[in-house]
Amino acid sequence: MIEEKFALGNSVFHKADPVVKLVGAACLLPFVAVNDDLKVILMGLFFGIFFVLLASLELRHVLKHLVVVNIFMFFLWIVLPFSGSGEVLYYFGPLAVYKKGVELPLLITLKANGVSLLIISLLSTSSVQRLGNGLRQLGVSVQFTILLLTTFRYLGVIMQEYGRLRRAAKLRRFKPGLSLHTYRTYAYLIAMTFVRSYEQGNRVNNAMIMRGFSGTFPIMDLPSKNSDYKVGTLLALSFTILIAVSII
Amino acid sequence: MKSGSHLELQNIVFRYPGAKIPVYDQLDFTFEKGRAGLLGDNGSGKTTLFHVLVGLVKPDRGRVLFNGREMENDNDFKFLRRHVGMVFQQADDQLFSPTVIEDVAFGPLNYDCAREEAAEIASRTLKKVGLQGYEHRVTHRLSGGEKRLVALATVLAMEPDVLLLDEPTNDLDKSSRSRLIDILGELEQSYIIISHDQDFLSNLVESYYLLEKGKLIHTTDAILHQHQHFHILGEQNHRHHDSLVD
Repeated sequence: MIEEKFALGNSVFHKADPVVKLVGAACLLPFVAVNDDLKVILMGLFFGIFFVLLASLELRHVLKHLVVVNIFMFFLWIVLPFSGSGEVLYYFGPLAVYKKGVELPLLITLKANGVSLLIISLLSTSSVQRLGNGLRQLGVSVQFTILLLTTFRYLGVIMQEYGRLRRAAKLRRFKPGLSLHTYRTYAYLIAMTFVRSYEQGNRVNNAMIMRGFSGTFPIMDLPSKNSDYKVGTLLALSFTILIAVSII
Repeated sequence: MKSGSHLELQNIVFRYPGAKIPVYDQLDFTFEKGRAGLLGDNGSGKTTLFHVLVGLVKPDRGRVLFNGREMENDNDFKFLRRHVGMVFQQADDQLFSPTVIEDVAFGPLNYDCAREEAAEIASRTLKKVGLQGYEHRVTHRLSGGEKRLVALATVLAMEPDVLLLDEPTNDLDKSSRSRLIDILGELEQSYIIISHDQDFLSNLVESYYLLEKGKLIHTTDAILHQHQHFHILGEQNHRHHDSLVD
């Protein structure tokens, strides 16, 4: 199962209703993501850092997530500065470093980090189960939310199943190569994974029916109204500031 | 006095899709209260029998009765499932919530229990299976034995009259197994256990159902016999129930 490291906690973000955070995320994330204005992007990054601190998340874990994001950015930094045209910043041996080629990965890096921090602080502070309920309240269909929740819960189990099948093949000295035998074996492995997931899906469904499941996931603790107002105001204010910054 | 409900199957005929010989051939079954074991070879249809009882599998022919009333449609079975709980073979199929308390409270909440009440029932049930303090543990990180106990708790929390347990000792080590025997021994509910582990059954049940050639045989006589058994480090003294033998 995929771990939900950030979902447990006591901050305002943890206590707030996922609905408030989902609406906030739906406003803030695309706005930062599609904007080319450096001021807006920096502001988004600032809000990301600020919210993560407010959510009092373990910074070690947050940084680990950012490392993964920035590994992708690293590849952009290897390629992009040397491509493009226009103003040259300086020459790096025979290679020219272009101004536009530096600006672009810089924007992308700041944006990616800002958006990641916003996602961590706004969405990861609720368990997927609660987010699912939030989506339901916002009018997303039952089928979709159940699909989301069960996929999330059982992806890990399905991966384990696939791993088990692969090990079984390996133990019988299966070595992948460029042959029909390899393709067929992989096809079998994938097909078996589907069959087993399907069967497990049925078993889980049966177990849920036996416990009176009728389409909605009940939630244990109610979000606190107080935190809702705080987080709601905070998010509305941040969004207004972002819009203001983009206009100026 | 143990709580129980009258469960009855009449003339059940069922054939697995594609199978030539029906797995149940005019099978009859009655259970009222008490503790029973359900025995049978692999593929004899033990698990499917549970599924027929709670309406997860529709038999080709025959009737399912609960407290004398015939269960005909889905609503009837919904009603039945409030009184008959089932613990599945794989604990992983039963547990899907992030934390233990949420999983245990899932059933009560589905039956419109208030949150506080559901939380209280969940805590009480966890205590009953010896898992107090596990409320906020992450379900998927528990050991196999603990998962099994949580799965049992999720069903007990619904306060059923009858429990159906499908191979509860599967993959359990010695200490988890004896813990399970203690817990099941204390329960006031009636139950039926599917198990190949006959030592385990003999500790708990009063009667046996044997599923053979599509029919059920009910018996209260279990034969106690002695047989050779295997001990690791057999040369050394070891505990044998309460006596110490060489």
